[in-house]
Amino acid sequence: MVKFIASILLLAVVAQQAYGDFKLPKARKVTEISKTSNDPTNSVMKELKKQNKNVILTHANAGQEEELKHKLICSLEVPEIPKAWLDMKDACISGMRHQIQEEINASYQYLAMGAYFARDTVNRPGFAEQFFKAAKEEREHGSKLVEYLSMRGQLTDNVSNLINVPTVAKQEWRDGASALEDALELEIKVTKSIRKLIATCESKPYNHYHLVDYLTGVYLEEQLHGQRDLAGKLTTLKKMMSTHGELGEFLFDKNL
Amino acid sequence: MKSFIAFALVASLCALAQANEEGVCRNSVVSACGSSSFSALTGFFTGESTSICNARFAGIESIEPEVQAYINSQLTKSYEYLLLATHFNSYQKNRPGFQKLYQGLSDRSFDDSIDLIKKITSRGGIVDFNTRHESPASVSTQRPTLEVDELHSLALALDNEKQLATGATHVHTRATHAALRDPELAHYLEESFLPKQADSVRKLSGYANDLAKLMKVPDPSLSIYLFDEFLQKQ
Repeated sequence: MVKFIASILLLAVVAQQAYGDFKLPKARKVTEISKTSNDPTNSVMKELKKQNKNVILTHANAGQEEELKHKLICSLEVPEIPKAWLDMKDACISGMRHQIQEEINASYQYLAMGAYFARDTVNRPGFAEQFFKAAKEEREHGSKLVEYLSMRGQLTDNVSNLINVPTVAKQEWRDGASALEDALELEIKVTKSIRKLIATCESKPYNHYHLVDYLTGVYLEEQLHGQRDLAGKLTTLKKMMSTHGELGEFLFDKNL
Repeated sequence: MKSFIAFALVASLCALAQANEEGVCRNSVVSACGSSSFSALTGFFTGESTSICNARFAGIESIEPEVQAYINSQLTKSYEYLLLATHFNSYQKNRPGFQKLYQGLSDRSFDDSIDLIKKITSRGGIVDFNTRHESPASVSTQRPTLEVDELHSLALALDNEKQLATGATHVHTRATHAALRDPELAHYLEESFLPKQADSVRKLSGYANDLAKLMKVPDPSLSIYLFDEFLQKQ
């Protein structure tokens, strides 16, 4: 009798364990995910890829079996549509891509300038703010050009390598005037590069009228005003620097 | 003879003490003002990073490279998000909601970078954009493929956000556990970074799980369309 009860108990335990196993997979999966997510290299991505490739959704509910047979479809087909509206030519497109990187490089250089003048022992908050603002603007310029390419139906592929994280040529300056001088040089470089891009995009046999108009009316406009502004500031500062040196720069910074 | 040795010892100790005290701004001003050459004075205050009259205190030495690494991480991720937004802005993807989400994250990372630059320089630190200090606060500059579908992009973003949160946590750990602690920077991270990052991690994990659930249908195109519309309104 005792043996019989014991064997029933044993059976019950086994059965319960089996049921537990049955219920477990889902929970286990979750812990697996959270375990691997400490790994810094795109763990969730990997998990999803795995699911996407070969996992048929695994539920234990018999009623849903039918629905569960299909795979989780993540990428949708790109439908065929007319392509004649995609009228940008290669030279102009690669010119644009180059210009985008130029703007980002300029943004980085301005960031470095801002960081220098924000230093405790340099302490030129006016200069620093001015350069941080310029860094934001250059980034904005870059991202507006990116948006333009998207508007013209470009950037459906090769997006990952559109912008590279640059390094900066210089991280310290002698004084405010030399930084303003470098800023002016930087703007001159960007202006030249835009002019070159315009020349490329309006050259025969195909003129990108709209882009050229945009580059001329918006980008060159900003470049020219920016250059004039910097040139004016630099001149004023240099006038004071020749006789009043540090005091000139100090006052100039407070009024920036 | 004995008294001479004792005298020499005292004298050398005094000299040593004086040498230590030269690390103080006031002393350097005193010596600069006493010196006959004008350049000794100007040399001090012309913004050389070696100036003793700096703003460095507490644990800045140990935390500076970590913050530098973290700034570079934020900038790297900012451009990664910008490109991810671009990907969803193409006519073939045409997902304005996803674009808005990633553009927002990109702008946030850029603004945060400037904020961090201001913070570390206010504490007497400098920022080096070129050297990439190896640290748990830094991320790889190798960019993953960003031409991914909607659900993958959410997963990618979630991983990114966790990486950034881990980076900030690491900087915080250094600020609170290094030999010289830095409560000021730790507080700054606690107030300006960690809660924001917890929110964005939570938000993205919610999105990823929601979208994954909505996509468990034979044709998920409508689910993605509706989810994108939802993202636009956020």
